[in-house]
Amino acid sequence: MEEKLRIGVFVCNCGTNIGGFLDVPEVAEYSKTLPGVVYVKENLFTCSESGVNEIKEGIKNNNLNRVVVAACTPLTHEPTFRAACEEAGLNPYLFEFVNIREQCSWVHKNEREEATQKAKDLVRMGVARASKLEPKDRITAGVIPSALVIGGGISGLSAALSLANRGFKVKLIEKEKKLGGLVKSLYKIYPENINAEEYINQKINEVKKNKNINVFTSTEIKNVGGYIGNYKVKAENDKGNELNFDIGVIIVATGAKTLSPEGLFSYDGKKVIDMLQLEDKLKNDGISQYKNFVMILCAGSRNNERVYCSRICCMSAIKNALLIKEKNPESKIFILYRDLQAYGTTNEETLRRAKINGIRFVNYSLNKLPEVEDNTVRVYNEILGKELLIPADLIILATPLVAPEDNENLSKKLKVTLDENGFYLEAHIKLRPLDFSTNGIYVCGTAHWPASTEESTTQALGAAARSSIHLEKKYVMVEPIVSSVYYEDECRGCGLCASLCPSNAIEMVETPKGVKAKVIEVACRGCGICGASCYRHAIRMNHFSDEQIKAQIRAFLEE
Amino acid sequence: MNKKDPEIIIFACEWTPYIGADNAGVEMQQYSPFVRIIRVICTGQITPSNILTAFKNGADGVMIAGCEEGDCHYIVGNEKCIKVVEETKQLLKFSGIEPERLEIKLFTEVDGSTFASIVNKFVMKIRKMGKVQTEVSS
Repeated sequence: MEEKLRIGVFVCNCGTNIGGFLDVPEVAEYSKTLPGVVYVKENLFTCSESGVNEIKEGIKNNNLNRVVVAACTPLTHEPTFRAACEEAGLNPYLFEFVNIREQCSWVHKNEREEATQKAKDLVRMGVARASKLEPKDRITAGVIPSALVIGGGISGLSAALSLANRGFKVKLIEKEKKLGGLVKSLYKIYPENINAEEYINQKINEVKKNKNINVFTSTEIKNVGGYIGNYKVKAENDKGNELNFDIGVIIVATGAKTLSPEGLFSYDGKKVIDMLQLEDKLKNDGISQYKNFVMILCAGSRNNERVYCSRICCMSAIKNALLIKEKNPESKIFILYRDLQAYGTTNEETLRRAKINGIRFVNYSLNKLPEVEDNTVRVYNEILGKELLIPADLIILATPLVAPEDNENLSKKLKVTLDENGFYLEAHIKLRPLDFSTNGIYVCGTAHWPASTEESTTQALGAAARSSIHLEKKYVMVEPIVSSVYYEDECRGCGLCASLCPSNAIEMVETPKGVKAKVIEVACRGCGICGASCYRHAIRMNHFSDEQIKAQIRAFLEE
Repeated sequence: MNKKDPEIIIFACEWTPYIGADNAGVEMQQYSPFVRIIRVICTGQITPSNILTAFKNGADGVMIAGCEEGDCHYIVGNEKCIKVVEETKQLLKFSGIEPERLEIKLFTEVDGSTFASIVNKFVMKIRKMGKVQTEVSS
């Protein structure tokens, strides 16, 4: 038997934020006339303690089975009011939020009458939607206490160690033969100038010795199935062996590579080299025969083809210039730059030290690129406003870090997004900077964006901490705003929903009634693409169902 | 509402456009009071049937507000909705309703002024077109 609707409507004044621009008493009075509404209360601040108590008392005293709050935006206070409903014994998904501040009073400040009318319409729409809401239980699922780290550079090694030292099992996959990544090719790590090779080897040894970490080199990811807490990962090594892992969380630490300098500034790999070749020369005492050094920054970056700034090249150039000076104080070094990224107190100090040590900085512009000639570099100095001819025995190009082509492929397998430059894109730049919007997958280091060793390590430790929340809790709880095969008999098992699902959250299962779609609720992120695509209307989005949306539409237009 | 005022529905995905709509409020960016926003999780869940329900019940304009291409939180929701909108425009033509009354806007920014100006532009266009003259049959 269907329960009779007993809807309570709470209209907030928000001090004068709502009440100052529209007629709240009129909206409240009007709410009483709406179908199913048995209780209406006007609050000064619904989100205050007294306001929340008024909701709870309203529910208890009037046996409310739906609650509508007309106030600010659901993006801030929906959890508050849902919790209030829950505490009063009402299922939190029988609550509906109507936005009459951000999307009404504040945007129609000088149109009191129209704003009041709009608020009434919005409440009417909210009440209509509330009538169609259904109680839902939160979804929980277990988490396999094991992490997969993809990439064995400094970020991957740091993340793996951090998780392993907390007692979690880690699978570390590296597609190259050896661990170490880009740091392996460096001479010294800025700012402390520690020996890069010693440092990375020490990390690699720690990882290899750690009983909780299994390392798989020359191994690539073939397929990723499953969902947060329960990923099924297939990988393959160079011998053609297939490896299968059951994984709770995944950290992407696949790094970046430097742009090939081929074709830039007469690059020949001998007299004109790139920064990694310089690191190599420094490592092997290969610079003593040179006296005049010219470094060209932004080689191949911040142009039409590659608009972004790689951030770290300025400091690695300055670092290496100082190291050259240390080895050979007689050397003359020119750094040709467009803008200098020397952010933070340490970097500023290093830049100052470089200038004191006689390293010359020459500003050039994209319109007048330096030209490499025999034993000289011709550059137009933007500050002096004249052309300089700089003697050069060795010319070093600082090329940017670029995203590996393989990102395209791997991101599709993981169902995560890339930015316009091919780097991995986080879920939210401030709120979830190390998470992907796909739950249970995290990003760190240069896979995300050009970053220094220090920044990469920081991010790796952060990603390890973020992912360990689920490993530690051993279960995940997911909002029940997911799709469901609501009318299973209507499902013909065509599999269209499963193929369209961007979250791999639908599987086709054999049932006594034939093949049917089945939603893996914990993996579903609630986009509703499946529901919109089902030609049988068998599958639908809970909490944003067609019925609920149409009730809102009709309520607005039927008046 | 005056009988002559347009009745417009905006389906806003709860990411970029819905946040943009909230920010319009925070920034006190004023826009036409004749729109009603319906929040959805992703534009990918909007069906031709949702849109036609709006026109059938007397809407004069429907705007679908989604995230920028390549920036959908569900990877392909907005791309799918672009197709739904194209197809629904054909259905509108059959029903004698100008397909221009339906628009999809993909928001690159969450700032309020972008939201307000896009809404105002759309309302102005619908105002020029006037109220829908044809009854839509189901």
